[in-house]
Amino acid sequence: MNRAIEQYSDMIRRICMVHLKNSNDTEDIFQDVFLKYTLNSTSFVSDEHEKAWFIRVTINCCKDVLKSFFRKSTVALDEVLAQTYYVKQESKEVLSVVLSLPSKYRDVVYLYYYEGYSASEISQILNRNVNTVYTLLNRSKVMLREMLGGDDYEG
Amino acid sequence: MKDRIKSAFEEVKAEEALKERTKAYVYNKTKGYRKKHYHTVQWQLASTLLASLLLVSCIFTYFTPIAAISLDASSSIELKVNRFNKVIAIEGFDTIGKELATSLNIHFKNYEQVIEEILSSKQLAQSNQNNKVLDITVLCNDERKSLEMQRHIEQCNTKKSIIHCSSSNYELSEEAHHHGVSTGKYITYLELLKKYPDLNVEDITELSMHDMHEMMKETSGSNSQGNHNSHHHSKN
Repeated sequence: MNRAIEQYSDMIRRICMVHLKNSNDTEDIFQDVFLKYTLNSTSFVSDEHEKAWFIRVTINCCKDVLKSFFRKSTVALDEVLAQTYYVKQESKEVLSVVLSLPSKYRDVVYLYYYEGYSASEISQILNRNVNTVYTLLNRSKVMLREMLGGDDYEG
Repeated sequence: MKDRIKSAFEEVKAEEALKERTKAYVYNKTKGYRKKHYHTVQWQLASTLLASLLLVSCIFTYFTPIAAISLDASSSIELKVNRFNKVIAIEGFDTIGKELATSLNIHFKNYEQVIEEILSSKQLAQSNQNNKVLDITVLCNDERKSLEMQRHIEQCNTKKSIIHCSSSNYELSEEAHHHGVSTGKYITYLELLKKYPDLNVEDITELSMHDMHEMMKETSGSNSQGNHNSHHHSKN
């Protein structure tokens, strides 16, 4: 369990940020995810299998609507960025653009641009139609290019 | 653009305090329960299977007889011996033989020890009052092993009983037991059959070895050698 926490904490932290979670909710999600991991009886056939499991479970926890009535499910973008006070200003600007995308694009953008998954792999992880993933990626690319500038083009 | 997004996300890290609190939370919830990983389960299954196979193999090897020793006089008793020279089974073929077999504790004992106990037993002494000679037949397909066992048996004859030691093939014991007699007695019967072709096994079941030897003497006028491997010793 300790090994898993060291290996996947940063990834889970990023996914929580993508879903605009405050620090309390982020901690709840951490606890839920790693408790599930510890009690999980699934045998992972590879590290990739295990990582995909963590991504799916974390995203599901983030989308969990069974939160306390008195707690918001998301927080303002400024508050999210404020939690990562150690991040450089230039990076904060980029993150701000990504996090300002509509929610349906953010997971796909994170998994594609940061984790390096292909559209087909993303479709398996998120259990979505691959054509849907392609569509979301293409649209998000257009939006990101407009906001971040069109200097770098992906092939 | 891809590099910029990647670099930006790269800077986002989980705080150490958050990780520590998570570890403590999970530990408290599970009381230190550790998830078994696939490789651990695989290794455990493999080692359990191997240990089971080894155990079964050891048990099978221990309880597989490679030789038998037939002791025949007025009564008959037969020992089964494994490759470690341990007696793994004992069978009596008449009332006294059965009584003697049940009275002996053979567990994990060497055949020399068991034979010494038999030679010292009251049952044998009582049943053998008029028949001084005890026929001991070693049944083993390995000739070297057979001779070795005969030597050991003669050495453990501390009571200096008169014994005739001989050897034969192990396979004869199945045939003998099918007829309900000890192998030593059966071998002697086969010898008698050459002279008495009409002799049945049932005819000799009540005879002592002494009686059977006397019958052989009557027909041939001398001790029969037979066509199986023999190695005779007599002791006073």
